Amino acid sequence: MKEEGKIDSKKRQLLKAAAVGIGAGMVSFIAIERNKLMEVLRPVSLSEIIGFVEAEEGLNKYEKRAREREAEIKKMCRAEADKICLDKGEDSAECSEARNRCEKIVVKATPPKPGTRFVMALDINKCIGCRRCAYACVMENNTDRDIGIEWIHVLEVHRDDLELLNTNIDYGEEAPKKDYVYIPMACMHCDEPSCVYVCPVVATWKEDDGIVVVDYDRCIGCRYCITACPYGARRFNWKKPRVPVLELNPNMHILGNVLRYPHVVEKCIYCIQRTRDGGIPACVEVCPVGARSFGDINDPEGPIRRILEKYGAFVLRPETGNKPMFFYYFGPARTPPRSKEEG
Amino acid sequence: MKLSVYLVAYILAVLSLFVISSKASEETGIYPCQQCHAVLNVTGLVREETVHDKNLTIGAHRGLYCANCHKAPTVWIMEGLNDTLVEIGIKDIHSREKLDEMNLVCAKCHYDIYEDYTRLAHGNSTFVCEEGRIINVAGYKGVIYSFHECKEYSKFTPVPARACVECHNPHNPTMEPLSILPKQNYVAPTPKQDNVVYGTLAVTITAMSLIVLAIIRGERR
Ligand code: HEC
Ligand code: HEC
Ligand code: HEC
Ligand code: HEC
Repeated sequence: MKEEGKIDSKKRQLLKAAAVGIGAGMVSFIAIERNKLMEVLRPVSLSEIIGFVEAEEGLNKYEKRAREREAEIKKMCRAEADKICLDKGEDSAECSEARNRCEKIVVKATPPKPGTRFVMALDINKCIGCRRCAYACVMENNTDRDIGIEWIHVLEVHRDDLELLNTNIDYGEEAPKKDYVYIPMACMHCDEPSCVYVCPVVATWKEDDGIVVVDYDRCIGCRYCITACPYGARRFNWKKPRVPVLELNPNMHILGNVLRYPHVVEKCIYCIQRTRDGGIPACVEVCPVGARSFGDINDPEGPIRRILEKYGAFVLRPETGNKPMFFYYFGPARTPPRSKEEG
Repeated sequence: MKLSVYLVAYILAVLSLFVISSKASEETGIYPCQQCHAVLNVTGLVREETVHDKNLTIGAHRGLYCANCHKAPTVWIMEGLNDTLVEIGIKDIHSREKLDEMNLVCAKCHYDIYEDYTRLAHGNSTFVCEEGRIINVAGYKGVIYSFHECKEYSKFTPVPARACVECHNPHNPTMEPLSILPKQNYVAPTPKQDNVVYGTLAVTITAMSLIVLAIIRGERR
């Protein structure tokens, strides 16, 4: 009896301590939440509400968000630049370059131009599998440098086969090989994008000019779209992306290469920050053999029409019904394979 | 003050121009062509030329004569599309504008490809912007990336990035493959799990010590 009582009291003490602990935790939790809630739930004035509605109805609702992001990124960039300046000295070349980059940063929200429809065409005969497009893309789009996200994958496949299942991405550093072709693959900007259909929060959609974009503010990182994409084009930011200030591309678009948050999905956006303003994507620019062409398919004088009329085209995995807007074709001549003595 | 800066810049520019041009003629030793050809009076009807080490019996242009492109006897004058005559522009010596004029020489026989080129469907393209410039930087995994510096990042105009002779050697036009860059990452690796492990460990240790404390307190009563 006495023995039991002792045990009981011990147990009771333990429970009491636990209860007190949990209670204290709860109270502090609620208190914190309350403070936070009070911040969020501040009363709004009527003029504010009207202003908000007007902004929503205005030309471009992304404009406002782009400006907010621009200020944020500039602040972050300046902090980084200060660090560099402290490190390397105030009058070093790195310091002035970093400062210059930060001041140049602009986050755009250029809307699609009515009547345009962007398409890319790639000449499989010309491509030599050198991977320059994949790495220039990383530079252009402020992609994370630590965990090795690359939007473009270059695949090697036998000329007679052309089956995506038999492709090889680890083809080493001897290319082009005889009788092999190289297929760079990224987002196909499909007309019936399965990734868009599965997104539970409408964080990704097809714009009027044919570019499939991701809204990084809406993405919840569920990765359904990654699974749904038949081309394996989407990548996930497992951590906060790191981009050195000296390599930052100051030309940004809110739906494009603006610095990503951790845990959002990203993918090729046809360099929206360049193309919406009349430019061409970085992969087209860097290609040493000119295998890629980019343009508006509705423009009768543009490169895409010319290629489609002259050489024809095919798409990858037509059986998925995704209707890709990225065309491959076999152009005129083929660069010869690397000769043996060159190694 | 400002004037002196300009003066220094001007002198530097002139000097560098001098260095560049002297270096280029040293390398090739054949420019300007007038040096010799003003008096040589060649016909251009040959396929092999040992002085200049050119051989048109091999390569994709085998069968052509020098005179198909170089208007003999003034070989520095090139014959282009619709009988246009342009002075020669040589890769690594002349400016991009001069090399662009050579496109007309190719267009004479490759009009179809030339039209592809002007419509940005052959060769790679780039864009220009107002008061902008292009700086080539070595970037990720060794790629040479063209960094565009623009006054404001809007209103770009796409243009061909290179002239024909920058990709094709006119005397042996098949383009040799370039060097290839390092391997790609197939799947982006997930971040290190260390942080997660340490976090869990810290929570477990705190909980354990709390329980032990509670037991000790109970004992003392
Ligand atoms: C150092 C003197 C020299 C210079 C400079 C020079 N050449 Fe020549 N070139 C020659 C000689 C010598 C021949 C051979 C003439 C012959 O076989 O009768 C020749 C032959 C040629 C021929 C072949 C014509 C034929 O009928 O044999 C061409 C084309 C030609 N040169 C182009 C050029 C061009 C273009 C330049 C300028 C970039 C140039 N040369 C500069 C010395 C020169
Ligand atoms: C298909 C047209 C074409 C033919 C045929 C041709 N050339 Fe040229 N040649 C050019 C062009 C274009 C250039 C200038 C472009 C460059 O080299 O950067 C040039 C440049 C040259 C140069 C100066 C640059 C260098 O590469 O040394 C010489 C010398 C020359 N040619 C000699 C000849 C001789 C000799 C022949 C005949 C055996 C010949 N060319 C046939 C188009 C031609
Ligand atoms: C006098 C006419 C003529 C001129 C001028 C000319 N070419 Fe050619 N070119 C030819 C012929 C003929 C062929 C062979 C076509 C064939 O084999 O089907 C050819 C073939 C080629 C090829 C095909 C190479 C391959 O791998 O199949 C290239 C590239 C080329 N030329 C580039 C040029 C460039 C660049 C210029 C301008 C400097 C030029 N050509 C000027 C007549 C010309
Ligand atoms: C970015 C580099 C690049 C530029 C600039 C370029 N080409 Fe080419 N061209 C290629 C490549 C790569 C091929 C295919 C491989 C080969 O045959 O060399 C090719 C192929 C060709 C062919 C062979 C086509 C056939 O039907 O067999 C011709 C002709 C040609 N080019 C002419 C030109 C002319 C003319 C220009 C300028 C107006 C030009 N190229 C500019 C890279 C270039």
